[in-house]
Amino acid sequence: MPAQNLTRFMALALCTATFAGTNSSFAASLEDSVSVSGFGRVVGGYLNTDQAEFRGYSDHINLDPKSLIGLQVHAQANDYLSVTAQGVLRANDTQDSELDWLYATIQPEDNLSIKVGKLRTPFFMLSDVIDVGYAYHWISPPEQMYSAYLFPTFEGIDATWGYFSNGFDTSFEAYIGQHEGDITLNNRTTDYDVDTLGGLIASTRYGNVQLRASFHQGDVDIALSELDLLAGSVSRFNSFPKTVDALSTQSVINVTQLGIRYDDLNYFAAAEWVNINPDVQTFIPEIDTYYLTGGYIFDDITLHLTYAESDLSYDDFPNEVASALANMNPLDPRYQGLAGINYGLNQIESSRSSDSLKSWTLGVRWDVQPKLAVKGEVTWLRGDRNESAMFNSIDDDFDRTTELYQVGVEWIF
Amino acid sequence: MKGFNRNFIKHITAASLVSVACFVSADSHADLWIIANAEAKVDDLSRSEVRQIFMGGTLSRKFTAIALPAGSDVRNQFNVDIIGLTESRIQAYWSQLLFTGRSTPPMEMASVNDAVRHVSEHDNTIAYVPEQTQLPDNVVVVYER
Repeated sequence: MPAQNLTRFMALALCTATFAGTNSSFAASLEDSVSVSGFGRVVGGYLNTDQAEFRGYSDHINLDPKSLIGLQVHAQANDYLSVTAQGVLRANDTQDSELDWLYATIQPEDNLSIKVGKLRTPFFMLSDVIDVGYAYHWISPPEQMYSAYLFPTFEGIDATWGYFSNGFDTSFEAYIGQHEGDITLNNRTTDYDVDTLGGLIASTRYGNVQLRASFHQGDVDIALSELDLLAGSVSRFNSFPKTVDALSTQSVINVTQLGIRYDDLNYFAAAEWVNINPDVQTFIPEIDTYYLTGGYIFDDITLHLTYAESDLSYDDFPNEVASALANMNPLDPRYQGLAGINYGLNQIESSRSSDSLKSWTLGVRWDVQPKLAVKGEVTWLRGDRNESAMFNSIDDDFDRTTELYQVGVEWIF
Repeated sequence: MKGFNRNFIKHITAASLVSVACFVSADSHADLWIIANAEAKVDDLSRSEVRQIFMGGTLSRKFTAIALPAGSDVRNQFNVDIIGLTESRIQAYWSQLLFTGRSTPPMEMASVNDAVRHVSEHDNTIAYVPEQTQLPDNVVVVYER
């Protein structure tokens, strides 16, 4: 990030941190009906190798990937209607700083709440609060799950219905909308559209136990012209329909999630499992990922340990092109064209990144005072030597095994 | 006889020490009242209902929760006995609800008196106060701990 940007970011960070330090009320009321609140985090990270980079971190201390400031303005029109906007300014200038939330909330009755506008997609337990580091114990929630290619926001409508009975507080949430943005697949960022996406979330809380199960679906169209070009060439042969389908840049992506969390005065434990399953898996991988985490709390200190794992897999292209080529006379006028296509398919297969990764994270959170926390954590990253394992800029002899150190300050105001 | 006396005194001493200890611990752990405006028309609430109201659950849409300032003894006791979480964990939890637009944290009153007055003046409000707090006629105790 340019020095000027960094200065501006740090000035804002200091300003809001001072605000938090004064221990002012949670939301500074401008008037009774308008409240302003916010959150911030400054996180430094260091990767213990010079042979690769991991999620923006390298062997130099870097503040950019995760440091940010968010501001939320909430205006209550009456008992039934309010408007909320939330914007985030990121230190990392490759990520857009923009309004992540802009929505109206309508509450026609006590049990029902409807939001309309731009919302964060509530995929996993922490997806919609991922920028508010103060809300969770880690600096980085497991990257295998929380940095998976997906659509972070959507424009649409979300309805939540809640019901309390016999100690169980249960809610059902349904949303539908659309998303336009860019997606990073195989270390390349491309535009994509999600014409329709939607999901259903059921969650229940009993005492200090929380369960969440959800299912999400998106109809994705990725702007990858070389796949379209290749599909066009294949379809001219009129004899490889499976290959044409496998080169489709349109795919329905299904996401299934299960999560559980238990909190007590002195300890907590949580687990979450996610399966991301595209119906075309030649270029977009299927991801199976989970984590187990637990921690012990004494006074203002939380010590925690997490194991996380992901498993990515792709489908190979149908072998109809390769086998046709093997049986074809090289003097056949179609041979050259088909050989070119086969080369293209092989190129795509070899350019796919295989990001399976196992990790252990040991961390500490110190709640200095209400609304202000300091955190530190070490993550041991263990990938397979034959895979990219979520690293990039990889040296040939890098064994995909290293440690990521992070320290951070988190606050809300 | 001497042996009997010595034993007797030992027992008396132990018994009085135990009773003093009980008295002291009862005293340092005064009970809490959860109070509501009589207009709320609830006779009593369960601990889990109180918890849901103060933690942004579905019931919190029906009742408005009133809290005391972070760090106050009554609030700390409420956190431990009713919510079962530390102050910082509760703050973290609320930041999750606030910044996802699901709920807003309870309104904070500067003192027990302010909390009682607010409950007395607003329908469907609920607060926690130390037991034996003087209450106006239109404020009722809905849960005792």
